Amino acid sequence: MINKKLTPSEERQRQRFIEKSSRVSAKYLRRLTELKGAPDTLKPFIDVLENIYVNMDGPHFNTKKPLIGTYCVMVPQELIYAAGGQPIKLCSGSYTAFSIGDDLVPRDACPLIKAVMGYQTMCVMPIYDDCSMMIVPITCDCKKKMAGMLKDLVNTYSFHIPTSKEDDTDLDQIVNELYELIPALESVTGQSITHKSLSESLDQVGFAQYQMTRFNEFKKNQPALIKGTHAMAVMNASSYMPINDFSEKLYLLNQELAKRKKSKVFVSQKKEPRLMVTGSPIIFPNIKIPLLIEEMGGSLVADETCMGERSLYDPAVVVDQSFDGMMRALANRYTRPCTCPTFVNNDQRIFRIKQMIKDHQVEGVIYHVLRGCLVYDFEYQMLEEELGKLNVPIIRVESDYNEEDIEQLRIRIEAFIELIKLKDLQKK
Amino acid sequence: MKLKKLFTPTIIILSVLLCVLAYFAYAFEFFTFSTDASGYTIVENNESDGFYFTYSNNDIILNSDNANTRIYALTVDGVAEMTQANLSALNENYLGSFIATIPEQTSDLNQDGNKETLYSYAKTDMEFTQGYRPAAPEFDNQLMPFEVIFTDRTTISLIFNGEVLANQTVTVYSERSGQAEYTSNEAGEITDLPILDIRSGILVTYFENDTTVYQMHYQVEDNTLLTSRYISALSPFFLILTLSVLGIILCLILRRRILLKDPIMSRFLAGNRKVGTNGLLKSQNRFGFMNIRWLIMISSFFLLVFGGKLLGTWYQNLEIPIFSCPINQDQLIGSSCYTLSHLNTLFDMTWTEILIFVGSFLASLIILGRVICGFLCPMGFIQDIYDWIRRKLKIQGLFFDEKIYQRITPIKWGMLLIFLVLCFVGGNFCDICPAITLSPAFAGFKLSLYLSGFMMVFVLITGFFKRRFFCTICPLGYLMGLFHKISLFKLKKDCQACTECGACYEACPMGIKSIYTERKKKDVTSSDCIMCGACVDKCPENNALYMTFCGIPFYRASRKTFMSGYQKNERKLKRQIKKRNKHDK
Repeated sequence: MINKKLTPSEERQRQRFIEKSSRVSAKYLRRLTELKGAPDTLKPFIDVLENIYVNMDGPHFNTKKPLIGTYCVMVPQELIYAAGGQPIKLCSGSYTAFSIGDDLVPRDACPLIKAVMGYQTMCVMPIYDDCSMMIVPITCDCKKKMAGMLKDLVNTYSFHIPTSKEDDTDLDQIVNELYELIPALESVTGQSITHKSLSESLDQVGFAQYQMTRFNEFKKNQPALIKGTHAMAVMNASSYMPINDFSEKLYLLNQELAKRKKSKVFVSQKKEPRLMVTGSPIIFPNIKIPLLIEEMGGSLVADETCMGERSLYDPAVVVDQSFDGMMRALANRYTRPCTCPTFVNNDQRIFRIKQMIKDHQVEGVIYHVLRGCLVYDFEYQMLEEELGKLNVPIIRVESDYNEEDIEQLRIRIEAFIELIKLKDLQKK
Repeated sequence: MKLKKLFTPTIIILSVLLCVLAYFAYAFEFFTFSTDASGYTIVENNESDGFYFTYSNNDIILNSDNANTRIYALTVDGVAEMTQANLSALNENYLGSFIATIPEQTSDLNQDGNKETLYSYAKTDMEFTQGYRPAAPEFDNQLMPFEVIFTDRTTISLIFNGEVLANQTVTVYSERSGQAEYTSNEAGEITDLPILDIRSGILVTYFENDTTVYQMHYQVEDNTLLTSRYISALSPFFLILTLSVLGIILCLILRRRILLKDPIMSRFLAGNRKVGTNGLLKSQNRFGFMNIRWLIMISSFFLLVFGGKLLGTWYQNLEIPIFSCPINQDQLIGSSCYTLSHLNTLFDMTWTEILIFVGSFLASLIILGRVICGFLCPMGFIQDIYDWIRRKLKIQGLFFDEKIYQRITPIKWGMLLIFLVLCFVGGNFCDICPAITLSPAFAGFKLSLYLSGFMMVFVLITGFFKRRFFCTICPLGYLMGLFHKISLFKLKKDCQACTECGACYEACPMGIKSIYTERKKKDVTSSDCIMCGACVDKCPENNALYMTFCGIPFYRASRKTFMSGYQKNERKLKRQIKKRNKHDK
């Protein structure tokens, strides 16, 4: 994939990069599998992550479909499947790539962008290099500039998102954007999107969402049936799996969880504090926060992040079965319920988090902010105020894509968990 | 930009134009049935017993056991006696009312041993004479001292020697319920005689004194189902259907031409042109509340059209505010739309009638509210059928955004003005009301249509592209919506559970946006809400939306039911996995 010939020093740097990158990924994967209570049917998901991040292999499914790279959850997968493509979420959590990207983008840019740019310039990850096209939704400032930088390297499509979604005209704008995306997709895949193919892909993604709904129901169980970190791994793996494959594997996982529920096999004790994570995306291998929570004796029961539950939560509700009706349904599904803080008014996120606290019986919220992720940082204040009224403790943890802050995070999260345990004792 | 600026003035001009048109609605003839007796013939049948008229297609048959019958007819020149020459072919001079007499007889009807003198008559009115009119056709009282008069398609009044027969007891024998005694009131009206009895044919016997008895058989031309007459009554409706289909096709062609110029949309024309029902997304369709709503709508349509014939018309005293035309006498429940659109008739009503009207109006507002619109109204039903057809054909509809809804409110105000005020300035709302084309035609009443026919074509074409377009400008619905606060049916929302996905707004036929933006109030019922349940049906969040009656929830949104269509896919997957495992072993 590299056009120019590498000098020996560059070649060495590349080798070092690959080694280091896979070593870090392998370490986190090991910690993930060592975490007690992993269901047997979690293995396919772990395998996917291993293939991509440790073996540096291509997406391990045998598909001839052209890969379409996407960033953010606002790119409609249904359209890509309908055009005969295979969407892959390229938002990255790699520490090694982050250190490369650090030199390419401004210091205050968020680590996610740095990691993506790092992979993109090193040309070592097949999932990045095999992409026929990348669709970048223009959401936050970093994504916007990233789209500009990617344009020089790969075939990039900027998918424009309006900054607010209250007016009906905003939705019309999205519908128009979707219509404009179609020819771009078709030119890459060589297939055209028809009424039939779109309704089929809606059906397939809808089925995956049905399995996700079942999965979420199991996550609500008290005591927990599955560790939250494992659940996050499932969601992370979904980024690199064909949707039918994912639904099938998730179905098997759901069956196992159903069995666990029946025979009362739990992975947490009753008194373990139930926590949820929200804020900036948590992407493999940067899963130190969920790992820390569960290693410190907390139980991660829910997450409100875009690489977690969010990505397959809201179903596309088709009201009108004409082609236009389905496009409207997609536009609706990807913007209106989206709790992305790049929108001017995002009060709905607070309601969503409150509802999740109620559904999952959450006792404490961990607000994750990636360094430089301003939009999420902005919303912390308001959330803290609202949760204060509900008497639910919340803690803001800022992290970066490296392991230097891990001890500091450990202390803060441990203290937070102790605080909740103390609160429980006082109640009794 | 220019077009956008023109939109509001155009709408205002349109609504003013609508008001003007409504005033002259009678001048726009859509379909007229002949209002004279031409084409009919009178046939005498001297073989039968009794003395009465019957109808058979275009024949008016006088059944008689007496050879000396004389037939009189009302003509434009007054009462005329029929001769053999004009019996066979009636012309337009005949007003459609006929009376036959036989020479006086003697008979002991009250069985007191003395024979009385019996004067027998038979009278009939053809259908077109029975319209809503203050005075019914009346004969010469010199020839026929005793006469039964059928007014307004509802009441029987008695006349004797040119004056009303007040406070007298008569014996009425009806084909339907046999013999009974009735007493007339001050105005000579028999109010408690069921309308179905009247329509089946009645024989009224009046004892003037012990020696003189008058007897009159009265028969109206009744609607009979599934005859050639019934099909001819339906013909204006078929004309409307044909015109609406033509209009829809024209609109589709026009839209295609406009879209071809659009750089983005022109690409998708080929795909959209393919009309058919294959390739539909089935997983989101499931049997549920919406199917029950369809069942209720279908049965309500049939009850409102034929219910009176099956279950009696006692309920017609109740009047619910619904656009189901009360000119149809077979309707199960009366509709207050006539009184509401003819408020001047309130002055002629008795207090009890006004009380019944106001009472049943208020009761239906409280108990049902706009559930009437979503579940019972035949106008809504036919619009929903058109919308259903469009969906099945995968034809792209029109989506109205909040601004368009706001901008078309002048039309709604215009409609309300016409509805309430037209009667005072000398117009008739029924001439513009589209509902008049529907239920009477299906029940077999021949009604001439004026502007209402054109309105119905418009309603159907717009209803095809935009679900329930007429409901957004319906004056009766708007009037009911004003009272939505006191209605017992409510649409409620759990504001925290809502993710603002906007599915309810997309699904709402009335374009109520507040349903998904509301974050404070629990009660999201608005005056536009027709309680159709489409929002709850499409809501994917548990309990986010629910409908209540008296505070008791009866239909809740739930993700499980929303997604239940995918259980089919799950079973399929299960089978696949089983098969694969077998294969591997």
